[in-house]
Amino acid sequence: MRESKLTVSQAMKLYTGTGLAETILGLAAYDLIFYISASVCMTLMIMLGEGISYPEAVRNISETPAGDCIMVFAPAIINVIILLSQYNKDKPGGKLFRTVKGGFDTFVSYRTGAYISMLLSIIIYGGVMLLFALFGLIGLHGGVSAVIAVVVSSMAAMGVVTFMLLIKNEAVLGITSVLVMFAVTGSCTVLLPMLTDSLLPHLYIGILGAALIAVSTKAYFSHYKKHIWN
Amino acid sequence: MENAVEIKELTKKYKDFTLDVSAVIPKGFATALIGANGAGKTTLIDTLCGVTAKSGGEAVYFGNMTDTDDDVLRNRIGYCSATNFFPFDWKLKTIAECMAIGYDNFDRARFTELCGRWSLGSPDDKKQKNIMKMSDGNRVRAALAAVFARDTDLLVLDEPASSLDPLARDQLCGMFREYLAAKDGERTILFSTHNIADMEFATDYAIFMAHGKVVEQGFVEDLKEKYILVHGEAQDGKKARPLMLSYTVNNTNFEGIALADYSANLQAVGAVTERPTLQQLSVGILRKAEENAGK
Repeated sequence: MRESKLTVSQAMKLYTGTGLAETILGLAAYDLIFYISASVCMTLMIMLGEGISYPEAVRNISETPAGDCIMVFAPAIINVIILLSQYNKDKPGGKLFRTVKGGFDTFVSYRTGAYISMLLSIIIYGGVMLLFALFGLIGLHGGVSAVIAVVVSSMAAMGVVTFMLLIKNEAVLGITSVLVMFAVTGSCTVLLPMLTDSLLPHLYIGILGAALIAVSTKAYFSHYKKHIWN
Repeated sequence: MENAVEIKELTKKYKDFTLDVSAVIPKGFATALIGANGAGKTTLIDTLCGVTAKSGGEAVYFGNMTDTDDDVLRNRIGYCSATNFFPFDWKLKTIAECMAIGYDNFDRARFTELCGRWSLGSPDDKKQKNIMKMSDGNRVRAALAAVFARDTDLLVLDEPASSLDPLARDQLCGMFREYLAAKDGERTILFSTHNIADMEFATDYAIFMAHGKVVEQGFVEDLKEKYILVHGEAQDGKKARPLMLSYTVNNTNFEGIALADYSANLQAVGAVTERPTLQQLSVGILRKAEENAGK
């Protein structure tokens, strides 16, 4: 069998129409724009409702975990959409992708690229959020701890949702994966800063997330090739 | 005669359906896969193109190739599914870029030319519609333009004419001829169709399928010699019926097909015999297959 291997970026471009770097930057930009839009709306509502200034409104927001929750929304939604984009045969493009160079290996490269994109975009997003928080531009109840929690809990949630891709029923998978993604990222982001001042639990969750992603993707690829690919 | 593909007891088993096919696809010709809905045409095409894994048997391509995971073979086969071939958010530009990554033999200039011929616009246009906003017919045209823009040896098209208007079907028949003529007998086409009358001009060889099996196959001209169309007045139908393969009757007339060997006997009982069209042949052969399946 002669197979030509496409790079991860080529596979991403083939499956999604955009290369790896473009996807990472696009996702990070989407996350930021979503957060900024949502937090500006919330800040404006508080300013107008209570007749207070911008710094006071930001301070008010930082007194509750509301701002921290907004931070979770964009990456959670995007990550679920990407994880559920499996290009099954009955979906648009599904049959085409089964006949392109590399076949299943190209699919594996695409999915690998998707995980790299999700992780790096969320790290970029987290980095920018950290700067915002440090300069006091946004109101975060959990501060730096909440920002790091978004990144590490997203990794853990990605691992768990990847395991859930083994669920056959598409409706059940769709609903439960959204619930799990929001539950894991939301609860970690809100609770971790409340429960501890240390960043060590974040590190543990990050390690657990990385391990979950490694194990779950291996199980997923094996299952997908055997039961779904063809 | 050389064969582009030799299908040897190729099987694909599902819970409620089994495909079990032995057939040949002659090299240098356009072969039509004809059958009712659920006959197994798409399953056969998908299995031949590596979209669906076979359960058993073998298909030999170009004399010595059998592995559909082989990129050399992938590049020689141009496959196009009946629906949803491209993701809906793609535009002509995306199609051109992605086909160039996915296959070694995609010719962007040819794609641009074909898009122009089908009045789809150009992949280089600044403003482009995505696939989702195209009509069904234009989606199929875009997919066909992409697959015809590849330098392949075998085209495998699932229902390429189903969403096309009559004029576009005629253009498609022309493109088939152009494709086959370009490498002088080295290229082959396999396509499935329900629009047998419209695609008859483009069909050299026909494979008839029913219930996952091949019930008849051969060159269209040979099949038109092998079978005859029989019709006549209803009162003569009873005498003609035992000699016929398929038979339908209304208050005034009867019609069906029979083996040409019985031509004289049928004429003797008052029936009229004619050379059938591929459409009439298909209806007769598939009706007979349905009757046999029902017994």
